[in-house]
Amino acid sequence: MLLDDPMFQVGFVPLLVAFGLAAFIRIIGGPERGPRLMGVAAFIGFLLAYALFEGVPPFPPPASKQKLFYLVVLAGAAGFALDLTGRSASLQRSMRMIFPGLALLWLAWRQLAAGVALAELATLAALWGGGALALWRLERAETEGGGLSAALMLIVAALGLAGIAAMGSSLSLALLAVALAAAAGGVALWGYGVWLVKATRGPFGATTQFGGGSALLGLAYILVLFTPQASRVALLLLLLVFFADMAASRLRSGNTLRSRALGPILFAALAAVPALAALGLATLISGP
Amino acid sequence: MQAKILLPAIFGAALMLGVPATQAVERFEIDPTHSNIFFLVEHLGYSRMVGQFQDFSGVFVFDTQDPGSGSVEVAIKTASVDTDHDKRDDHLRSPDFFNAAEFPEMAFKSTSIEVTGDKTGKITGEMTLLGVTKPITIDVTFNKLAPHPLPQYNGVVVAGFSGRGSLKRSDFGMKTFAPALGDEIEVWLEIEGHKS
Repeated sequence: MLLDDPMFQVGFVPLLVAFGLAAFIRIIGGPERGPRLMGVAAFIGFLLAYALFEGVPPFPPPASKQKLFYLVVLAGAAGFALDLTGRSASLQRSMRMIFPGLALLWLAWRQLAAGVALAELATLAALWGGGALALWRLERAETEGGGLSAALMLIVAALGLAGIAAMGSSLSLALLAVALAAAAGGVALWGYGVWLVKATRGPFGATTQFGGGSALLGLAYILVLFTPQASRVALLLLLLVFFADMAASRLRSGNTLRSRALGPILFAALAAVPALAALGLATLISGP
Repeated sequence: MQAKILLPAIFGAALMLGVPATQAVERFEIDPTHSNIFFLVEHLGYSRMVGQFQDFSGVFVFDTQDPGSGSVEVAIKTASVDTDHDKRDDHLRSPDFFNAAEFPEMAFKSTSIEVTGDKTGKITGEMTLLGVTKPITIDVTFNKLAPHPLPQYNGVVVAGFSGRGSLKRSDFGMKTFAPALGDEIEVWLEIEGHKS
């Protein structure tokens, strides 16, 4: 049955659900609230794909991969609350600093409670910092280039992470990263259509920033903490994806249909450069 | 994979069966060099893949007068999973399956032993895998209880058992690619224990 096919569960389902939901929310929410709340479509698309592929985990969840589901639920709900209430800048700033730490605490609580060595503390601090940096860069990309730019960065980073996870012997984490890319892709497709037709840059939204961002960070944290075969250096290199907007700002040109059509594609290609480098490195490290 | 835990349990049960009445309550330590914990997993319906755990330890207590009062405890290092293929073993250690970095050990602790025949019995116990504890039962056959015949063993008393059982990996949260990769795991145990 098609629904039992993992690639269908993590590829087609989140893409279609996120795209359909984004359209529905845009229509129901109207021109003001619709774009602001559309990010919930990516959040729900990912959770649905997770539930189809892994099943809804028990609560409390014993394993980090199961904890990821509830981390995304909490982060997405917090982001949605922010979107609903008009996105207080100070609250959003605090959340992007605090959330990566909370995610680490939640995913690795048992190991932390058992005591950690100094080197492990340094790793945890680097993970916290890297996570906060990624969330901040997503926000900056939205401010500078609109929601589509931030969504493209999230998609490319998720696909890069999927490759690194696959090289690191964890296919289920790789497929969950594909699910995230597909869910964000559903919303990005809608945003791309709006950009082409109306030349309007929609928002990324705090729901996608924290829901999608926490899914990406959670997967990366699980890879670093519990998947020794996954390349940490490749994951570090992948962080450069979140600086694609800085390089892309030099490429922006006119407002013709052609330039609008090509702009996001060039942006994605730029973001893909560090992702491909990270994948190449992971391949070299993991061997044939 | 979970079979590793089951095997020691089976041994414990076997010890309680068919043992000479002169034996009293004895404690045995599992001899890992002459014990094996195998598991069989269906591979896409084509065949069953066989694997085993290389690093485990455990003890069992056997009372020949009252086999049902015995007990078994086993701990298995999940990172020691071995299917004779390095890449596949790495995958089995990953969060997809045994999640060895997060859950380095799985364990079995018996809760009851039922004698079912002259040399057979059922060992029921709590198995903990991936942070989930569930009851499982292993059918065991007692093979032999006697001093080791080789001189370098200095006459240590050895007990030997065989065990067979099965479990559903998804019960323990190990759901990756189930049921394409079999959910039902068959477990084979061949256990020897040295009297301690």
